[in-house]
Amino acid sequence: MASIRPAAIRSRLPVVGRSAKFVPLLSNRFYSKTTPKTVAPLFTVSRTAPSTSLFNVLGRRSYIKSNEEETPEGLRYTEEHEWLALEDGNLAVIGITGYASKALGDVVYVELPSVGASIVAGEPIGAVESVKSASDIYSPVSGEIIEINEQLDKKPGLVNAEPYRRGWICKILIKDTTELESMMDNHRYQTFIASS
Amino acid sequence: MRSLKARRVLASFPGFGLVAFRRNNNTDTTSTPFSFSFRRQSNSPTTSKQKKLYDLEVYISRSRSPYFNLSYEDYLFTRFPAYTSYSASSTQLSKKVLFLYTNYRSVIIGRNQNPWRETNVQSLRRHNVPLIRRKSGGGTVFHDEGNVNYSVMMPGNSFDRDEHALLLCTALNSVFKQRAEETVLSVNERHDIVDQNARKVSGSAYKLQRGKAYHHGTMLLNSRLETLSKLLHHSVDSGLEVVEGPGVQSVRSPVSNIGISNELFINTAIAAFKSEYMTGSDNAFKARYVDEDSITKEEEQEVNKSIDELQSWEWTFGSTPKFVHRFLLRDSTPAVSFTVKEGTILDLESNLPEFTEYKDSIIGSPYRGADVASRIDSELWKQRLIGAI
Repeated sequence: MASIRPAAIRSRLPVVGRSAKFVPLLSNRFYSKTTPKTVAPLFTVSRTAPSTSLFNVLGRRSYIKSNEEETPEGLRYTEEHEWLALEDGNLAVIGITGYASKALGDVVYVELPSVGASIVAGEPIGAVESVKSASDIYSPVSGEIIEINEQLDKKPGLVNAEPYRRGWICKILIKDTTELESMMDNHRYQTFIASS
Repeated sequence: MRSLKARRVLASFPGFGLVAFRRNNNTDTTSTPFSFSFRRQSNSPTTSKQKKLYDLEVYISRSRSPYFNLSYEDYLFTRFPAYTSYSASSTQLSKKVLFLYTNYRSVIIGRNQNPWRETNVQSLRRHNVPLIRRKSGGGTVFHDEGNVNYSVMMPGNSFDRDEHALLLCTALNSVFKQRAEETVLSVNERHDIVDQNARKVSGSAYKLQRGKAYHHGTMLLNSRLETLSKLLHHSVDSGLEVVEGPGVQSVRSPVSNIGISNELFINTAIAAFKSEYMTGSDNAFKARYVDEDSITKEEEQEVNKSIDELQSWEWTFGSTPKFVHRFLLRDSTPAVSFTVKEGTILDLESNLPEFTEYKDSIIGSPYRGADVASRIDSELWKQRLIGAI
């Protein structure tokens, strides 16, 4: 586990992040539509965190170059262009990468999995529709769907606008965390998309 | 054949400026559902025509059944290899499949559409026109025997929304020129083929899976367009019904026929694909006619499974994205509205005792006319709902 997710990240999470599950990254409380583009870091706490912290990188989103923005550090990636963020132990958040959301074009509908469904790594867990195309979303890990992003029913465009934030797809309770080891880090993913 | 690459298509992406979809000429082995190349217009390389060759397979259906044809298409796609970075071998030519089929009169909705919103289910039933939900995205289309469908399956890394429509345009335009006809086709920004008067003659839809994708489209040759407009007249146009909810809504376009025979279109399409994707020799060319009687036992098993699914209520109606269906009275006051998810009534809102008295038994019922009708007493409403749901 330690090798998968440096202890440093957890210990330096903002206090609110420890009590409320994944609230810091995704909740409207911290990121609303009216937030100006040039907003300061979401968490002032993160100034003390190392630059490898996921929250730090996402918090300073507006300050990073666009190609880095497409593949934030600290997340894990698949060849099918899904990202995975470990939230707490074996609870993971899954979404579609910025690269994929651009390539797909305007997303008009997201077919979400059902809460409680058990899933197998590599199997489809849903689909997105954009520009007349139905594209499958694959789960990078096996486990159980804990929560789905119901906001996408009304605002499927969040997948394009905020692929790593309010455009997340679902949360999965991972059965076997060793499956994470086959996923790419942001550098490998960048190399992968550059070569494809 | 004129070079397709010279006819670069521009598509605009939000926040990304002008982007050129480019045919991928690399023989790279990585491939994913989304891995078609896209890059800024300014730094896309200049065209150096180098044909990407494929191992082309052509299938022509002799069946007119939309259930058979869509199922066989699905079967071909399932069997199509997934070209991923861990499975592909760089020495072999990648496969490309062209499947051509014509259906008898039917209405085909997109994967994520609502049949109650997109069609007039009552009129389809009355005219005995099958309503089918396909696996690809996009909007509602009308098929009849004056329309030929083409379906192209390709590795995920060479997915391109316009490539095959452009190929057909070029080939058909030279046919029109030969015949001294004034028709000139082009591909518009919605990836549809339109004539010189911007009337749509072909609509496109796509499906992407790991390492593979398909593009299929209709081609209106001598279709009975007046039937089309009658059958696609929505139930909600009456003003007595409202359907609300997520899902994909069709974009209505003026349509036209290109007026050539099915045989000429099929031959033109095959010739265009052969000359674009194969070397000069005809030896490697494989074309196969298929129908219900000529497929193998193994194929039949798979195809029948898929036909059963396509014909099921659970797939066609039951897999509609969550929605609210509201019925109004003649004076436009709301009478009853059903909230439906996965084909089951989740909630009911009404001020009419005809419904409120039976609310508990209606909730949880499948959203089918006969099921809902069996739970209420009002003959008038029974009739209306049996027709409309």
